[in-house]
Amino acid sequence: MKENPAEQPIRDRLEPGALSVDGFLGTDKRPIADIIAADTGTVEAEGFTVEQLGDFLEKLHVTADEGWESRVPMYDGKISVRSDETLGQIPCPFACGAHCHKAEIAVKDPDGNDLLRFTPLDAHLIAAHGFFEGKGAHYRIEPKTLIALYRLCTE
Amino acid sequence: MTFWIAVGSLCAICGILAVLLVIADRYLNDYGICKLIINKGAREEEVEGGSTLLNSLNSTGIFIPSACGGQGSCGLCKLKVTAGAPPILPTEEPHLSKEERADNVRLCCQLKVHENMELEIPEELFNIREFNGTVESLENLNHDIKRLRIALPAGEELDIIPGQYMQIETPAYKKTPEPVYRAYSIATDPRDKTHIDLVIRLVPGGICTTYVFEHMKEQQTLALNGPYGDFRLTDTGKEMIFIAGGSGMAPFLSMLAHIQNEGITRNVTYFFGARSKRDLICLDKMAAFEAALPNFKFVPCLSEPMPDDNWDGETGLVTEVMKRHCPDLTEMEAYLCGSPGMCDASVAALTANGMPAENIFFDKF
Ligand SMILES: Cc1cc2nc3c(=O)[nH]c(=O)nc-3n(C[C@H](O)[C@H](O)[C@H](O)COP(=O)(O)OP(=O)(O)OC[C@H]3O[C@@H](n4cnc5c(N)ncnc54)[C@H](O)[C@@H]3O)c2cc1C
Ligand code: FES
Ligand SMILES: [Zn+2]
Repeated sequence: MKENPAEQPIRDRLEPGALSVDGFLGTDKRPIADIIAADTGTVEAEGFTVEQLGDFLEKLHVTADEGWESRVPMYDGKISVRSDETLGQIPCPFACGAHCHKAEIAVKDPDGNDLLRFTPLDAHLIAAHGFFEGKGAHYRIEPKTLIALYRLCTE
Repeated sequence: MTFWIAVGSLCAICGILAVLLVIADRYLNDYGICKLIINKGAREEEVEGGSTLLNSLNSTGIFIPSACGGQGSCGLCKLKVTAGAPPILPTEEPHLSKEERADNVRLCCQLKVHENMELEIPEELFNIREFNGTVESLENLNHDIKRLRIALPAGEELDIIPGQYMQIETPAYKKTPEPVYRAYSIATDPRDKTHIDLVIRLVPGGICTTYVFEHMKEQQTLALNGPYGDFRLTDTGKEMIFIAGGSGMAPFLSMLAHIQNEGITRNVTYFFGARSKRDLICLDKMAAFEAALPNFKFVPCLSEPMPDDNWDGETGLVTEVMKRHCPDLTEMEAYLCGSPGMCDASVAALTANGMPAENIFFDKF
């Protein structure tokens, strides 16, 4: 399917070099609407909403940020979160007016294995736009990986 | 044959349409020369229409505070635009209060100049300047932090107030087609008016910091403008606490140099939060300040020291260490530099030990 012309400015901002070095699309050539539809479809088929998953990531970010870059246990020690923070904010590429802090949050299991790496912008992109980024993008989050983490923490 | 004639005609029509589109685009986007009428005509500038008001003003040598490089996120580039502005854009809305909207305040990085504009600019902003500096040195302070020392052009001097920041321009390079601006706190001794020191931490995948860490060379030129910002020491004489980790040390390097230059005798304790020894920076500088300033104490705190760090200093969260050291903060004031979450956690710890919220100073970007 071809890109809807209304989406072109968004695609431009998602390309490498516009708002971030590597961009948000990776090697994914699908129209943005298709990327979103496929991922939200996966989320809904598992009985979740994108808002629920995005808000969950934001909660991990806020907890990590208050930890002054040290590892903070959450959910009875099932996971720990740690944030690399910097000053400054990055605007949402969908130009919705939202701005997110520049940071990278690492989520680990009790043995120190990486479960997920994400940024505050990911939390917003998922909650507000259902956008998990294109396949091959550095910060792409597979919906199933996020759902598994959510279940691990909350069940 | 008829088929090929049809294809040929279609191509010709498409070609003509494409040319018309290009011409229309040129025509529609050509706003010509527009006038910026500043402070009721006290100053007038002519600019090429089509660019943002922030960039148009920059091109005339007027620099408006900006900590986000014109991305519409810091909310600092507010100006009163009394004529020639389009309706408020969705990207401006989150930053403008009801009163500001009624008062014609706009975010000048979002606003494009399409016709003559009338605007008001506070006089003090005319002091902000732009330089083409030279990268004098680029030094590793630890595994992910560099100190960048920039020499101003010969004969140029800049007065800064410790706590202020500059913006540096990352030129277009292979990772970004357009130059971008980013804010960095000034770490310079304010007596040195011919250099700007910055302390920059690598942000993986970051446009500006990737440039600084992988592409910047000593002796290259670097455009910068400033100084900006209201984060500064008070003159209350109260005992002070500084809390910052990593590149958050930058403003405190400048403040401590100022304290030394001016012979200020206020007690200062600086709690520096890091994970392990490899994250510590500027220990020699801090030791020199401790030697020169009898009322200054540097307290590095490691939250996750490694076994081979052989660390016998403070361990734990920097906020917890601070609370242990300073049980009664009612008569002190604090200066913070860090992310919003770090500042929130510090404010909670400081107020828990009695510090009035109005005695806590930080920039929340
Ligand atoms: C007043 C002020 C003073 C400052 N002082 C200092 C200082 O002294 N020292 C210092 O080191 N910094 C300082 N900063 C921060 C600095 O301005 C920059 O914001 C910082 O260096 C990062 O810039 P960058 O261009 O490298 O990163 P950018 O490219 O602007 O942003 C990178 C971040 O964007 C997000 N991101 C990028 N791509 C994606 C994606 N595909 N998906 C999801 N998220 C993504 C991530 O969170 C990533 O960490 C200051 C900021 C302000 C406002
Ligand atoms: S420059 Fe930051 S909001 Fe305009
Ligand atoms: Zn958005």
